[in-house]
Amino acid sequence: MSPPPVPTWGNFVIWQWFGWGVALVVVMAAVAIISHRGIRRDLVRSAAVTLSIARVTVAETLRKKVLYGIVVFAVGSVLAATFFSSYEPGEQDVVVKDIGLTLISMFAGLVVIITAMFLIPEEVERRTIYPLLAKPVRRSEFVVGKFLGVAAPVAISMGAMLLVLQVAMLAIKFPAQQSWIVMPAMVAVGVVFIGMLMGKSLGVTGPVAISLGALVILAISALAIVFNAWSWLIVMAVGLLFFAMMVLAGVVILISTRVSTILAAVIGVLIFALGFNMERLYHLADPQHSGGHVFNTISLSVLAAVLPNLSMFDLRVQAASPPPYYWDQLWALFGNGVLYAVGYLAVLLIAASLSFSTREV
Amino acid sequence: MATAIRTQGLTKDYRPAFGGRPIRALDDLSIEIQEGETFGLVGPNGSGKTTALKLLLGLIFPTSGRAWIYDSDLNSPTIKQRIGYLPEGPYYYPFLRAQEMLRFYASLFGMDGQAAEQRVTELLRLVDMERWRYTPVNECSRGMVQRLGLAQALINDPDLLILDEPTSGLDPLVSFRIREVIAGLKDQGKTILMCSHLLHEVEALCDRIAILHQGVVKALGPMEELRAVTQSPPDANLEAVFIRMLSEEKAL
Repeated sequence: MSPPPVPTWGNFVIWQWFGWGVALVVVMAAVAIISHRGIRRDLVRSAAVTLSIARVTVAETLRKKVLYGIVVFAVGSVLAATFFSSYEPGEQDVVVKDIGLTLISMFAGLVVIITAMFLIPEEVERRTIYPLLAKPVRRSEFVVGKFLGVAAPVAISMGAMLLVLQVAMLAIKFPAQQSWIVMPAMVAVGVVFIGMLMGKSLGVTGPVAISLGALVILAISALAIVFNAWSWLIVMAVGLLFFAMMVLAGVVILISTRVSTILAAVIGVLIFALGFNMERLYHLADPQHSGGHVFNTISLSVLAAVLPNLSMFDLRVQAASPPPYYWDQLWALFGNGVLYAVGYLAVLLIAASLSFSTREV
Repeated sequence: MATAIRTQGLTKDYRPAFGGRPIRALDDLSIEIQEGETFGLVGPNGSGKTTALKLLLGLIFPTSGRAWIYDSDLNSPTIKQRIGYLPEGPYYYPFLRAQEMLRFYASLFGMDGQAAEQRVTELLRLVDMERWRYTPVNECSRGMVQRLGLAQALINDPDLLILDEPTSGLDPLVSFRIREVIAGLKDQGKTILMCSHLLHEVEALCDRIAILHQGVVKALGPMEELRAVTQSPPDANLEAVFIRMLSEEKAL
């Protein structure tokens, strides 16, 4: 296998510099904290307030049954992919990894959009924001707290999908025992689903059913490590995808500070679709391919420069390829992706805070 | 005595969503509320009472004019450390239990651990909600939620309390209990700004009262002054004064 390509995509460099810029600001803030007592006190207060808001947001998000539905459907689909038996033994591994990662990105995107689109509009609509903003809470702290509150449920749901993909990898490694591996995992997923929908009527609470299901899946995926079927590259791919989802969450939160939930969701879906296909946009923005129309070239170039390049977070090709893996290059891709996400997110959250600070509630 | 709240020409226009002439909700409000004073804002629906409170809390922004709380900017977290606010409706996270809700609001003031726990218990006792400390907010009755609302407004032991319709829609017993708590706070020397439709309540609790109508302050002062302005008899209560004033307005 040839080494993976070094990233050279469009707006990558600009945002990577933003990432370094943010790192610099963090270092400067750290110096300020150490040297100035007033700033230190305010930053500590600000962090505590932001985390309190994030905690309540997590508690609220984890009560949304629709999210469990999405995750259960996603993990069920990943497990079902192991039953595609019409491939050659070597091919099945590639197909399941590819399908698995595609499903994870799609369903994680759905989780992000569904959670992030409601965060701010719902607070305003049901007016829970009134007593909140009457407390010593800056609007920027509210926005960042809401953002962090999305991060945890997204990480949990992506973690669940990752474990199930590892179960699928174990099943592929031992085709003769495939049913013995996949069926208990499927049953565990079913337990989660039934517990979630009918927990109360069965006398079992949702969290108990979910914990039981999660334990079974955790145990089976642990077997993947024991039997050397665990793929660290998939862990890296899902980890990088998590940062893409955070960028998407930032975009949806920014938009939702001004528009309705539905419009925020529609724009979120568009950003998701365009973001993972940015290379095509860069290609179209090239004057040679935009039909020579100045307006087309300019508008496409602006879009290409401003929209998040989510394809930077896509390691599907590398993860689905057979070894050898060039880990130094993969870590470079991962690091660049993280820096890009940090830079882009910093801009998004600052813009969202500014936008929300001028909004009447 | 220092000034707790000062507004100067505070005006708020709302622009209709689909264009048209802006609607003036509050017009040139200039008041001063001294520390330790209990001040009432009364007026019919749409008179601008809640708009005034929302402007003071920084939830909405003035079209013109300015306001200060303790001579400082309204949005400063330092100033908000000294304010307690009870909104009109039950605007709290429905999934939190009573004590979780109060602990959450306590955490926004940097209170945690033993100190927060102690304050939460103290307040639950004050508003007679100790028995329901583990009850989720969405399973509480309207009266229980309102009592929790008062508890969250007091979580930081505020110097200034802003109460929007503290007893509206509550049964007489709960209303009486809440009035009792407010009277206790007044005795402690807290500054209180309250707006209410229940005129007897405002009359009983407030040192000075402003009557708002169509966004404009029509009269402001202690009960005696309001009676004098409206040429009401010396034993006229706030309801009689209020009706007299609005009837005169309509006649004009």
